[in-house]
Amino acid sequence: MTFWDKHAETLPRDKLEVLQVKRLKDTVARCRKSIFYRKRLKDVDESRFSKPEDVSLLPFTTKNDLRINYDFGLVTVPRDEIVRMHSSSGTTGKATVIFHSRTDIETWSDLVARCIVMTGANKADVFQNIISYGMFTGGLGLHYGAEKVGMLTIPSGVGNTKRQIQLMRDFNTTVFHATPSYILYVSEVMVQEGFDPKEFDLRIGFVGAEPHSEQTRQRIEDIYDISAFNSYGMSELNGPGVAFECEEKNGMHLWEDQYLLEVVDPDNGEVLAPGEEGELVITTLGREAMPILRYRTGDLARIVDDGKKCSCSRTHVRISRIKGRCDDMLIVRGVNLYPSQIEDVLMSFPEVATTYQIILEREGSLDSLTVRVELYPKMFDGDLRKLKKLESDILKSIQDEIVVRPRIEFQEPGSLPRSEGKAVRVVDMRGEM
Amino acid sequence: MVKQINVFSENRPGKLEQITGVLAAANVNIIAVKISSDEEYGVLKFLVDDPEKGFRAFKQAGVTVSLKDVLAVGVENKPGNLHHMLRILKKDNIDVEDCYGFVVDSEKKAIVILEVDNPAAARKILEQHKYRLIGSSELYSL
Repeated sequence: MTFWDKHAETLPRDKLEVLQVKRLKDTVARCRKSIFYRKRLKDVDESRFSKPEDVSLLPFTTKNDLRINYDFGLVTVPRDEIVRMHSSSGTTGKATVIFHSRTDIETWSDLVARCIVMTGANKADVFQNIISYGMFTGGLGLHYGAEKVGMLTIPSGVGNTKRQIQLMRDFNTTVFHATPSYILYVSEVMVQEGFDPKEFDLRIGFVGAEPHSEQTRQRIEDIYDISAFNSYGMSELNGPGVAFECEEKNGMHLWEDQYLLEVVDPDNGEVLAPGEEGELVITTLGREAMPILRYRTGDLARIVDDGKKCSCSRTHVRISRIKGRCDDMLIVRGVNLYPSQIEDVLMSFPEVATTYQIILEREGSLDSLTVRVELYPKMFDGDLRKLKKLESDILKSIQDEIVVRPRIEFQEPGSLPRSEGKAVRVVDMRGEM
Repeated sequence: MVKQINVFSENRPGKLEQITGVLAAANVNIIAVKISSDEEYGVLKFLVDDPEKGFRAFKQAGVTVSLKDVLAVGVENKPGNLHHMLRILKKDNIDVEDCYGFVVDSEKKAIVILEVDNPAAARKILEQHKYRLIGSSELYSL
């Protein structure tokens, strides 16, 4: 087992918590230097904080706070100390901006390096960063971490799929970073071009920026014959490097020396017990230029609370796969459901290709849910009855999972739109009632 | 055994034309065509003079396609003949998935194409009952 920073990654819990309290106090004090927090923290006395849970005495920070305080409202350092700006990928709503000092970039790169080494990747690897660069944090975040580890880093970005494949062949890429939807698309193009995805030198994949199911991960692993690791992060909290899977793959370790985690009820903000599913709320503990307190991430997950220490010997808490964003939740005929539930079902059918789409429409006063599914060409044997049976099997499995009865539409492979960044999986055409 | 090309297609205007275009471009001649369709999608079945070539052309065009063994049976073109043959197959529990026919030889003879769950067994049964199974070379030269 190798580590990037063994001391920090395996710090005993009691010491980790002492460190958290100290850093929390420092962070609150630092926050007072920003226009936004100065007012907000008037009635807070952080000197009385004695345990990490005391963070709940602080007010939440929401995405809307960041928007209202656009541009420098949360910054705590002089303008000339800032070396980098990033912007949220704007998954939902208007973009927000985040600033970093030189130290922040160093710390962030170190966290990403921890993640990379945790998966078994090392400086001998050739790393192809198949993800957007620019203001989106996924590109530069992994890039800096990978260089820090010492990997040969190919900043290939997204798009031009044939060239991506050419690069993998020419430079014997062993590790990639990509969104699940795009890397699955790359495998389709490989096959079209006459290559077997298993024959490349790839051995490890970092998969992130889109919530995806365990089934999707397994599919990526099978198609490429690699080990794929789930990654969690968001630009407000630097970007990638917040939490990552170790080789155990039983949840993602969240770096608690830099992030203080709470899981709250998304409706009333109350802190939930370990193991309960809720919204992740995260406080930065080391950020200089733009610290954020109790950030409402909007991401739904739970703490992996199996009462056991992870066999990798890292002491940092593990979080489950992200089930979705609070605002991903769909209400269809009065039933709450998440697209990830449908994805889980689809990916368990080998006849189904890697791309799908969920269409919501209103027929009269009733919602209709259509799942467009692409067929996997190799599994087609020309029998219409088998297709009808497959259709009814998928329909039944989805209905068992989400209660709502969907309509299934089979599509020819390649007919659904492909995305290079975040995939558009849900098309809601219901409008307002 | 005779090969038939089965193609998956969404049920949309212009799809059929797009698919026949692939065969036309590859200079593959269609002997017979059958469409098994549902509201949203269907399977198009082509009997052609060069199934392997047609199959490759579809693959290259990115069409979802498969090659299937079917039986081609020569029958007299008169009432009751198809019925008789299907009864024989049913007696031996051969499941007929699809069936179509066409007339050749100035309307005296017809060819019935049978898609069955067990082509080898069905072939044996039909031969026992003195049906004339048409081989690929004869069929493809029609």
